[in-house]
Amino acid sequence: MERLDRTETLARYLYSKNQYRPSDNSVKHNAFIPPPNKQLSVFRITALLENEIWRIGDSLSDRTPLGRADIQAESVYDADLLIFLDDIPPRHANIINWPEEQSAIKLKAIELAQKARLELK
Amino acid sequence: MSVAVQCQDFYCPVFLTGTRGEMFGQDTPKKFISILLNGIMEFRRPETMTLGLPLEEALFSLGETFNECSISDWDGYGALPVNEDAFAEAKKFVELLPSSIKIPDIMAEPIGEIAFEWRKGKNRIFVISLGGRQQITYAGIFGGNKIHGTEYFEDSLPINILNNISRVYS
Repeated sequence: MERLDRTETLARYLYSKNQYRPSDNSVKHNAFIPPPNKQLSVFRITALLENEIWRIGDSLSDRTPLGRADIQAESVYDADLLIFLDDIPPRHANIINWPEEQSAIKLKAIELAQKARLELK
Repeated sequence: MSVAVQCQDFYCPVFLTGTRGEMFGQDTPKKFISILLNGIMEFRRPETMTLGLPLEEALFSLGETFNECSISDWDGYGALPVNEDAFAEAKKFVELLPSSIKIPDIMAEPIGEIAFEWRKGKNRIFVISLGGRQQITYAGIFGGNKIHGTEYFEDSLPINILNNISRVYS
């Protein structure tokens, strides 16, 4: 598996206001809880312009993203998770290697949310 | 007659801390029940909440979360909907919270559960979630310490959960 440079930035697009906290500009842990298939969808956004980053989010769904959680690849690796680059669509990746226990998943999601930066559209 | 009650200092209600003489006299049963009921009422009155949002606001926030997240794919990534069992269990949890405990931030998780989060700064966070299965799933970060696990939940709040909530603010 190709290993991403630790300094690369990944974006998790946020489509629900339930996933972030405008009061202190923070990302909630639920933004990083993976779906049942345990593949958390993110995009590589290093070196892209802001409008290019938002264009990706706009193209993914009928819904417009309300914001995004940006996180360094380093934070993902530090949580003992892995990044699988599938490039489908281009720049897409999945955060994988989640533990089995739901409580352990929750802990990792908290760790990622702690290190993420909220960008509102 | 003696009554043993495990009492954590941060949420120990007045009706469990009276002196032996006050609590257990000749008319003990009647007096005890009266004090107990008053204590319970004190616990449950939303306006007595001195920290965080009152109970009504917490229940309103819970209702809003349920309304927004009781449909499939509410997060745009195929999230499971929050069902009525999860909502009812989360409501029961909020209603059982002692008034001395700060009302948490309420949100849904993509696995169809309702989560409550207590936090102080970026490094003291405790999160629980309920899915209507009589189980609390929890995780927390307290500075350099990390914990996670599950607790059975039916009619009373597990002591471990209450202790971890208090740990956020200690």
